[in-house]
Amino acid sequence: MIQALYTAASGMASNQTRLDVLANNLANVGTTGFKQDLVAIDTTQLANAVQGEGEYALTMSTVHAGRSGIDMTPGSIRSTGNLMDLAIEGPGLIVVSTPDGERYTRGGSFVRDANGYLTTDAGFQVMGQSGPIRVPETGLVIDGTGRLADGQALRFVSDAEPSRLVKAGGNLYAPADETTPPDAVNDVAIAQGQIENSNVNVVRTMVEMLCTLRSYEAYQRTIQALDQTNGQASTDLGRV
Amino acid sequence: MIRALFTAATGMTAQQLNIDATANNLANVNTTGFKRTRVDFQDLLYQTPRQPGAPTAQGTDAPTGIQVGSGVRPASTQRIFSQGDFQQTDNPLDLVIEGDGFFQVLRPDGTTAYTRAGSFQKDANGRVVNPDGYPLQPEITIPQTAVSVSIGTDGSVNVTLAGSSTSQQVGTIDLARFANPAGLNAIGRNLYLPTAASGNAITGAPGSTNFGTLSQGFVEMSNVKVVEEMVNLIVGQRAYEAGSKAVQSADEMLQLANNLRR
Repeated sequence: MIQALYTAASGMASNQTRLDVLANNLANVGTTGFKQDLVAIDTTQLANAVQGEGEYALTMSTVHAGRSGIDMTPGSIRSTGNLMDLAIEGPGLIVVSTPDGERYTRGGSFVRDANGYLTTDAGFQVMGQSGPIRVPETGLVIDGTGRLADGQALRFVSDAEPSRLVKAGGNLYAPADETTPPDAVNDVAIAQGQIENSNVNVVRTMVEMLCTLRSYEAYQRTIQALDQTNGQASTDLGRV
Repeated sequence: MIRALFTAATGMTAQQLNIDATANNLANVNTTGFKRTRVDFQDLLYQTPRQPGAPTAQGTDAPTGIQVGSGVRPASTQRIFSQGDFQQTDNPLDLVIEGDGFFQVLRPDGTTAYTRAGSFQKDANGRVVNPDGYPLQPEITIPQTAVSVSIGTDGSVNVTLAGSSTSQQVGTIDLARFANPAGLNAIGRNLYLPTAASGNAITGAPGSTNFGTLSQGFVEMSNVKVVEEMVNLIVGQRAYEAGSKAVQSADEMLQLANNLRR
């Protein structure tokens, strides 16, 4: 009986985490190149079989928010007319250099810094095949494969295995394990003067939020029912 | 308390800024030489209760972990220096820069400010000044007896004096450009000041390498596209609404939790 209370409580806790993730997706509905986080609820088996009257074998378990992952589906692309905006069409990530090491991004709203380097909003240099990309004096012209006329070429890594990436905030991804960074790739399509929208699906997120809320409510009702039963057990039975 | 409440609040604050920027763009749809701004957003830090690749209770490695984000923050309001449309005015001191470059004007405090708004006038002494009376740099004075002023695409200013059939040059307009114009600091009144991010001004004659050319009798209109801003407004408002729904959900969940104990 008491175990069931904890099971229901874990259900409430995991739905709370699920709402946190959904709220973050919704908050980032306007973030350039943002990829939504997915969250699913898993079960963990805690203790086997409270043996009943020989007939029933109950399996008690708790649930927790698990199997979260990044949904790397490309977002829709919108045209901005600003030549410093680079959108990746299809899979791939652009490599940028940060004080913490190399990071990866799809938030392709870049600027030229005072020294002529192509950088992110935060001032991190965009990396090419040989060192950081310098914007030519005549302006940035990049072809569909990420090459500049003067031979510089953007460097890309694969996003095919999202499990090897963790989000670092600031539109950046870090390798989940620094010793095994994502694989370098070359065949990445770049669209200049365009920007990738966030891939958050508002309708789906809203529906999931409803499910989360109602499932939270269901667990709450379960706890109340259990509490009532417990109360009856301790008061009414004792009265006999 | 429930994290979703604060996460959703960051989303709402961000969209509010988005609407603020859009409203300013729309308010300046008729401002000469105005350049629209765009707000860029970034996701905030993540908490990682479980790393991908962490060992699970079953002795395997978790293929994916759990990362819970804490919302969004505005990364920058980026000014887009794309060319605005031209409006013909037939005023000889209305100038437009076709291409890269800024006019230089001298502020009363002695510093130089930069502008794309080329609607100049003459002051009482014949100096070419902007609508606020800041003289164009290098300073150009139109003689009181001039009957016509012509400004070439290369910035040369020629006047024809009364009673004369030939024109004479009274000065040249220079332009300034920046390595990173998006890093300029807008101070209002159509003026920009250089910053460490924009780099120092590089001056040059109109039409020389990397500089635009001048056209007389036109002004540059703002580069705000009303349709785009309207779409932005819709997106911003709906995203704000989505955030408010997340706040409501979080609130209802908190209420349910509080009602556990009757």
